[in-house]
Amino acid sequence: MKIHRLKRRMFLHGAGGALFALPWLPSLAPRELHAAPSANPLRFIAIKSYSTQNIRDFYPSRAVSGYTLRNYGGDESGGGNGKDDGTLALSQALAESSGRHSNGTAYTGTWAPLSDFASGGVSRILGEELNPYLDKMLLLRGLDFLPDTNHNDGGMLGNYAGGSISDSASSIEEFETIDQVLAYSDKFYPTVPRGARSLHLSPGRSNTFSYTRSGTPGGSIEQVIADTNPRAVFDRLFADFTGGDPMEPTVNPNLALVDRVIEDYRRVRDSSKLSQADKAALEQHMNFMAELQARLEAPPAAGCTAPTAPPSVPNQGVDVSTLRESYGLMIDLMVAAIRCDLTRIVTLDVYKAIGMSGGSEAGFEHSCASCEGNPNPTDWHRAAHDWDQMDQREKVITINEWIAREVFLPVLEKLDVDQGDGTTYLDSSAVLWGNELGMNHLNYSIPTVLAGSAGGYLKTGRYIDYIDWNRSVKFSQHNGMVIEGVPYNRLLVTLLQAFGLAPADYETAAGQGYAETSTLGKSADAFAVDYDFAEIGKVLPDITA
Amino acid sequence: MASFRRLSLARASALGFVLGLAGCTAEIGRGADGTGAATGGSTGGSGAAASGGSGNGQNAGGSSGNAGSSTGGGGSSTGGTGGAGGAGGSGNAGGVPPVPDDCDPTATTSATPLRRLGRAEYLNTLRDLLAPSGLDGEVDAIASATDQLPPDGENEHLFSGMDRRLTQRHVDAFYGVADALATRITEDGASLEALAGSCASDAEPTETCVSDFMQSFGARAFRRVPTAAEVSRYLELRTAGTPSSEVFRGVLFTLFQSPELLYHLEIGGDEVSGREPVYALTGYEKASRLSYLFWQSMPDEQLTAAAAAGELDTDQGYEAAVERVFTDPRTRATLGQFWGEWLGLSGFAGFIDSAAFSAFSDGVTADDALFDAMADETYALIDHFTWDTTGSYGDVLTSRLFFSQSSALAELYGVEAWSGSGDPPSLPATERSGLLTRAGLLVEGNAVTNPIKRGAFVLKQMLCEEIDPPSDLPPDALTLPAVDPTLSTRSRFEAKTSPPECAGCHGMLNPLGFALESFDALGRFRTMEQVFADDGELLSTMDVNPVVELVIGDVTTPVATPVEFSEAIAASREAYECLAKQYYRFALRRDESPADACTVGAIRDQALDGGSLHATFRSVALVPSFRERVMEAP
Repeated sequence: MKIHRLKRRMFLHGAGGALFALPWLPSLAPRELHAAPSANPLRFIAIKSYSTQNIRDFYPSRAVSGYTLRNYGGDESGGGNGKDDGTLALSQALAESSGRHSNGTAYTGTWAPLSDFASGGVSRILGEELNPYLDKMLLLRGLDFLPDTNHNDGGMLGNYAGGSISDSASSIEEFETIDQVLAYSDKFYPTVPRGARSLHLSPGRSNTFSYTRSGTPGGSIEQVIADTNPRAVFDRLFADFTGGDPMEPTVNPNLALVDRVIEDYRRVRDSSKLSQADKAALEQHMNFMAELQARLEAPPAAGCTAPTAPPSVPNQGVDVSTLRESYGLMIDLMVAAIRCDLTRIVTLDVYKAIGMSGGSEAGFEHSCASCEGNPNPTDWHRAAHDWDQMDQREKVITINEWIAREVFLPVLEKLDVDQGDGTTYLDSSAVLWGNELGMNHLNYSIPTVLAGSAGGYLKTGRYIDYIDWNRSVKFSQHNGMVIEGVPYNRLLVTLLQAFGLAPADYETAAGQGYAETSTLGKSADAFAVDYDFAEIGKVLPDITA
Repeated sequence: MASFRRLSLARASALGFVLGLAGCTAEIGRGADGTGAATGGSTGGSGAAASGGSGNGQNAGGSSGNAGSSTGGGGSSTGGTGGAGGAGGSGNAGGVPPVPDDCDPTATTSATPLRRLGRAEYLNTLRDLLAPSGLDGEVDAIASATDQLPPDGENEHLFSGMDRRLTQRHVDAFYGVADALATRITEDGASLEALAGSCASDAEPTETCVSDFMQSFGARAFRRVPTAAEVSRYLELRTAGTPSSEVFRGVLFTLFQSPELLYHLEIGGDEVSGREPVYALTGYEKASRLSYLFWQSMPDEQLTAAAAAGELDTDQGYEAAVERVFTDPRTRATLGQFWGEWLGLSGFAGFIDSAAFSAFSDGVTADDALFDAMADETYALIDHFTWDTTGSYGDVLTSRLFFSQSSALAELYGVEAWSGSGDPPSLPATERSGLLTRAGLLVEGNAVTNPIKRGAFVLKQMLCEEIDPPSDLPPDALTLPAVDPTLSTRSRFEAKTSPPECAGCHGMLNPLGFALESFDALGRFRTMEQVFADDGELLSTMDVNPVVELVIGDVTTPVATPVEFSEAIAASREAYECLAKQYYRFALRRDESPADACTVGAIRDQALDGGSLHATFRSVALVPSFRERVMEAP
């Protein structure tokens, strides 16, 4: 089979031998080659930390002029201390109300400029090194998971169904996570990306916090598998990369063969001796092959250079230097893939991390098979249970300090470079650093921070607290309160709309927003559940520019 | 069997609750007749598995290595154990197992959904496809492509083979492997000629050359004879002016991604009259079922020839094939994977580095080598009773034979290391016996035992008792009871789980774990428990109390020693039922349904009453339903 090199522009010989360059026209394509991507595509990056954050070390809790510092009731002896959580009280009301409680009372969140807390760093975890990016960040408090989830895989991006341990919450409806809704949306990807619709990275484990239907309406929802070795990521995305000259795309010699393979699957699928489910499985295979084929045809981005091939860093153990190397490589690959427009969606699962134990750096894993019985330097999850023990608590805090400093910050730094028009990749992105749960194993006020305005959609530079401090605290676990904020679902809706989707693109019922909307597993007398569900399909109050 | 060590699931992942329980509102007693995955519990929650390696090893999906350890033992080969006799029980020597009493033999078994080749199956198949041409090493040479294949099983399934997910990454990886392998073989003239014959060295291949290749290599890739239409389709790749290397590259690229190779297609047989939607399997399909069940790879030449000759369509021919396939050395690796995944003999995160542990371990070098020895000893015990003797599951559960040459492990057990030949030593009669008292299943990574974890493992994994995860946990419910120098571990956990709402589950869990308190966190036998401070100071020493009343099913048995514990487990019907269920899930790669009671029961009945493990594991291939396919309802 001959390889036909296809020119992006076709040159005509005009009168007198002059050459006229025609613009690239899709109609000139022999097959479904795709138009050049539009300027400044939007990107979504999600970073997940496990268990939770210590409230006083994540949110502003140092005395700042003009702000009232709440009392701190202490939590060394266990139990909660309610509203005396030691954080700064904000006073400026948001321009939009969060809604009304069932008694008709309206409630509104509060906000403050993040820059007001820059001195000494916003918090211990969000330290001074993030100060250059405060104007591009959004710190959010008071976002509540609705059903009674515990440790979970998909909650942060909208699938609360995985990992619930509450009997009554066992019927939580499964949802695709929002990264996958975006990944298969024509509005997010007008054309098939050359690399992957979404890239899932995890130096820790191969299960991700993403769940997908793989673009098959009504298809089963499966947990996405992550890459754990940076070398494998590179080999898949960059090994055959022809970046550099955007004018010279090559036609892959396998394209016609892929057509034949798809046809072979079609013949088998048509067998009368296969069930509908079996046929659907083969069709899914065909769909994936067609997606692969489209990707093979997609042109490379202009001005993009492939990174240097990284070494292989297998996912083993919690060695500090190995973890540091792996995360560094993964972040570099992530950024390179984004800048080369090989993908516009990346998730980074921080299941293993570096923190401090006994005064020294130590590697941690969130769940360690043999870590029961005694405090263990490698068991992050165990430390998050022993909140009464200061040395255990310190592990969790230092882990998240490390994430802020060596994961979140480098992502911002590497994305905040000019993409050619005076704006940066970060400006066109939303980088979500979220958590598995709220404090302490409660699913209230999930610590959340965003960076990037998603192309100007988000009003950044602010700390927004959606908690209704006028409500009573149902109960506390250490300094985590059970008190109404706003449904986390509204953050999901915000992000979906930030990337151009309309409710009709993701809602299963009008006004429903996204993700499970019931408070399964939470009784009204024991839990804070009095949200305004009429607002649940709306973006977060006063968050858009 | 060191090669199986790094499989994907750790023991703790199957438990779902590792850090202790409270507020339990379980539906107890569903166990033996319950359906559903053995794991239960909260996925992704406390104690979820370490990720482990993806593994792309030979035959068994573990890390690379050879199949099985060498037990030597009675000196018998891996082939001839004499187990074909199916000693004891209701097993029939080499023949179809009798239908159990507690099932409906007329019930249609559960459907066989279409399944892609698992990761290990796929790689094994490629190697075996290319081996006759001496090109099996090419699969290892394209590691950057095969490494793209996602690992199987790191999800909710206990057995990696149950993972049937197909994702974009799988398809991308199949493409990448096909591209790399086809290109690599056809770029090298000698390799191409070795694969396709001397005619492949012609400038352009003749129709006969390509057709013959499809009838030989293509047939092996399809695992059946290709039809004339299929051969013609591949002949279309032979166009004028296209050189041989390109033609064959296209053929290989297409074959390596074909549905016939990548999927366990069983659509060649006809619907069985009067038993819709049951389909008969062709001889080739039976051959594939056997080879993938026991070898995790394609049929060999002898099995394929038997299929072609119609031998697998007769009971005698089929049963002879089962015997040959089962006794092949490759089966040993597959069964090793079964045990490794079931018992969680992987994913061990290592020993803690602390002053308390150093004081506790008291001169024992607790390192990877020690754990490896523990795991190997467990495998060796099982192997002995499977391959070297006509042993039973009961033997595995109660034997005191010690098959390790590790002096470190021997010292842990208080015995002499085995020399590797002759009779192995026996463990002290009063201390331990059987599988559940071996260090590989008892070891923790630190200085303190967790009887709840141990008890949950026995209850859920070994007795298949389903327990719902706890709900509405109060604060600190999952916090382990703090070490207290005035209280034994048993006492601490008894106090922790004493609230009435905990009794439902912990009444079942606790005794199983407390009975094993005779073994410390390294698996050493003890009558006294030592309590250490974090700095290693010995705070106290107190008596261990392993006396319990075990409730297994409807039977309550007082147990005062670990030996009595093992005997009680071995005497329970539940243990054999659980072995049968777990093996069914591993072998058939799906959860059993009530409709499969006859199959599960047949496996169980082979294992009961001293039935040989040889017959037990073979039996799944001998039940009538194994030679049929049930199509899922539309």
